[in-house]
Amino acid sequence: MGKFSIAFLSGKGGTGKTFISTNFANAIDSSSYVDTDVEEPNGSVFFKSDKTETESVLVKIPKFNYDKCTGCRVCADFCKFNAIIFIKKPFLVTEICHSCGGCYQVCDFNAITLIDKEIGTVDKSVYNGHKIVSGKMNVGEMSGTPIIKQAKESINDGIVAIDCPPGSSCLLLEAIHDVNYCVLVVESTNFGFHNFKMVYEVCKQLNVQVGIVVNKYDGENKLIFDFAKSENINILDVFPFDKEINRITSSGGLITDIPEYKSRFENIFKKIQLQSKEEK
Amino acid sequence: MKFLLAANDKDVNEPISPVFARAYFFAIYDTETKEVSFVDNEATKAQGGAGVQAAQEVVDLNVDKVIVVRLGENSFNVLKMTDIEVLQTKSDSMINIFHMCEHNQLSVLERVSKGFHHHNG
Repeated sequence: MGKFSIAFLSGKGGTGKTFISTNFANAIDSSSYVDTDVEEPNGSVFFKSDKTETESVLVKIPKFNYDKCTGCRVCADFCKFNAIIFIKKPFLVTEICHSCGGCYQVCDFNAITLIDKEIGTVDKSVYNGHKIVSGKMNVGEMSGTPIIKQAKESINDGIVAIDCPPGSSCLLLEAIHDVNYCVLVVESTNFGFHNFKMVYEVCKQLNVQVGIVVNKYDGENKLIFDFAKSENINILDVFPFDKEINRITSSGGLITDIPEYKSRFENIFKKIQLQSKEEK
Repeated sequence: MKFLLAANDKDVNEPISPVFARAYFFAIYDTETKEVSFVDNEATKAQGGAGVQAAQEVVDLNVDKVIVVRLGENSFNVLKMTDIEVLQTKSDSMINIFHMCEHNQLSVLERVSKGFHHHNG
């Protein structure tokens, strides 16, 4: 079986990416769930497991060999992140280093070696036959993209629900890189709609198939529906602003443990499969 | 001796810049010539790491004392590696501050400010 990755993204935070993606994974047999919101991963709280495997995410940072260093300053001048300061010899400001390896490349005197540095972890567990993967960035780190990459690489086959970070920055681009489909979770507010358009634009640029799940729908704000119509975007489902859903979710439960909701999410998946075949 | 402070105007009667790394200029006062010169702060253009870059520029300018209203952690950590003395001042005109510095009326910076780093993913 090949791999079919579906990313859940929103632009705005708090629209329900985790709500939709965890329930989706729970509803679809033998699917996996990958939390790529590495700055604040919380999807795994819905998949209780007492056995978690943890692996380190390492990046390379430079180490200066001052016996070989001639003080030419090329490395410090090259660093666009200003992570190397030069006071008679180069010093690394570790927190600012983006691990691009550029300094290593430009040093003509082999005075730089690259050493490992842990920037985060990838946690793996299994819940009811679903592989659950969660990327987590160490506090104070500059960029979580390598963690997202490693978290995604830990699943090689089957249906993968990728819970994305909010925003439309580098982290999101890494999260949706190479996915087969993007589910845009939209809250029916003006703010939610505004940020939705930003990530929709990203998906358009990347030429990836999209569908919309409207969440917390108040029955009034129609902006997203009008836009979906004009752009001809598939609306996969609409979830109301509902006390019962809120009660289950806020107590750490999954609504797809209820058959009615499970079939709704199965239906979402069918629509995704159908669209993905049609547009190919 | 050379004293340096951050400035947003090329006029010593104007106040010192309240921020260091993102100020437009550095004003340098030479105690021998009694003259003030201004240099552009390239770190204002930095997307990130401005504190480190600004401190680097200051180090390269070979000054003896740096006077700040407040200073970020990254700038401070760079300056700490050098012999440059970091002094603290209240907001005042640049000329007054240079004058106070020359008469040893300023105290050493005790506290660094936590910046708003890591906000752009």
